[in-house]
Amino acid sequence: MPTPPANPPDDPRSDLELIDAVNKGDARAFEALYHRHRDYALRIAMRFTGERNLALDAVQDSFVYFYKKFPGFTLTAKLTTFLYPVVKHNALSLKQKARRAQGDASEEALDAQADPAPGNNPAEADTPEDLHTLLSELPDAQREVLVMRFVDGLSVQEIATALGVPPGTVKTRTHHAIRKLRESGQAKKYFDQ
Amino acid sequence: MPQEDEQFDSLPPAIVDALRDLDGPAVMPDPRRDADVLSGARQHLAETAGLSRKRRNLRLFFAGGAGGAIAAAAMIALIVFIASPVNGPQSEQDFAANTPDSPQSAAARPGDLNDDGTIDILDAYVLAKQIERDPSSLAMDLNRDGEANQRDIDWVAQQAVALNTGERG
Amino acid sequence: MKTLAATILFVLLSAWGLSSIALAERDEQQPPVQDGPVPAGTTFLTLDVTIDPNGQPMGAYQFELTSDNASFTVVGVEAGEHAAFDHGRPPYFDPVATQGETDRLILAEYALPEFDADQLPTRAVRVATVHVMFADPLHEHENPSIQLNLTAAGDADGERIDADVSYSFRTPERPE
Repeated sequence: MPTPPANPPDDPRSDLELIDAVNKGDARAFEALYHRHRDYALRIAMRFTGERNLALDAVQDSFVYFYKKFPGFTLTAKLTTFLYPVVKHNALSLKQKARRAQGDASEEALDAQADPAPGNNPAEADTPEDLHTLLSELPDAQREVLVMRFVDGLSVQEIATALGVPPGTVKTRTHHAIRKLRESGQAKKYFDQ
Repeated sequence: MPQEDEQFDSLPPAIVDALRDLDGPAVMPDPRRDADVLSGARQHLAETAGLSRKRRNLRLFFAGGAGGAIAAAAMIALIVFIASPVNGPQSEQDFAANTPDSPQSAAARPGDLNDDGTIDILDAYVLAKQIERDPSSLAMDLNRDGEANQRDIDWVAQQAVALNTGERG
Repeated sequence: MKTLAATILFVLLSAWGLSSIALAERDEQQPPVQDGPVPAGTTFLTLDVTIDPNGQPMGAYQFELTSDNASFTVVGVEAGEHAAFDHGRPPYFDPVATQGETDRLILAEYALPEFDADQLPTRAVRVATVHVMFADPLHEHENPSIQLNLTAAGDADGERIDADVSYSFRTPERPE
């Protein structure tokens, strides 16, 4: 497997400082922001497209949208919180366009790419298939907040802002998802450890 | 945090790993796309930086001019105050211009009829009472449709209960 | 004369400044009046909201209903029981609250202007009934709490008065 290109060393400035610099026309500051958050955006895009090229397109569109907001962009939340809905929207749009372009005959192929059956992914070899099935069977909205909270590391408020829902909804969805997992035969043993 | 809430605040590592696995392996970025985005950004920032400088200079020009004008106005106001004795309203017209019911007062903060800094149902109630007393008064035509009526009261009340306005009061 | 005018201006400015500070502090210190759990398993809830103006004639009210751990959709709003507030329509609220999930609702109404002070309610009166649907069925481990905050109550002249707001709830299992 080819090794990914190395990222330039991370700029020591915070996102806010970099944004301030970009507002003043500093293209290097934008480059630092891009490299800092590109892989996160790619992960989100891949989550919703299930296909590498579509994910790359979605990320490219998202960062083009982002730099066109300068000068005058004001960050009111974490940059990851800002990027999440942008990337998600672009990813879902591109996926929908791809489906229409390819027609129904290929829809099964696209679905298989987007929702790989448990065990198809070599990275899952070490994790029980039943756990993946269980997680895949959670309602999309519940699984999404679980992933945002425990994989992406966003706080309840950040998730609420990114999804455009009240914090109470985020908490309720999280609680319901975790309860389902606790009560299921496959996942219960992990909670009891 | 109540004990029963703590069990919903964390996940076992195995489940977090399984969630992470749903994303699949890390996506290989594409250097060509990286280059496209960054060159586009450089171009956009270079173009808009030129525009920003012009806008900044214009802003400074007007700000400087405005600052000078404000300072001059303040001096003139001070001189007029010192030179003229203040005996209260000079005429009934002056008094009318300074009451909360006047168009000038209403226009200063449309909807805040009782001048308490907040637009709430009390303003709608005050307006309703005023319109009931004098339905012909156009000073109470807050929505500027040519009449002072229930629509003006509704206009204020709807501001009072709006959930997403940035500033109601 | 100038001295008198300057003195009056100073007093007015001070009074305005001090009252603004006092009002701001009072608003900050005013806690939600009603807070409590709802029965487990509830999805729909009917709230009867009562305001007690403590003996003063009440000409207008405005309250805010929130939940800090659940979101809801407003499915219905009914007017209260006093004739002074009978406009033939429900109290004012933002229809956004009926179009999706929210965690906040503001409800307000004023008395019909033709009602004089002696015709306005002076004791506890049901001012509104709100029907809400919670976004997800409620579970015993996550009972949402409902907060009511009376943000404005006014007398017959629209001047602020002290009043108390409370609610009681009805569920489909316990019709009233």
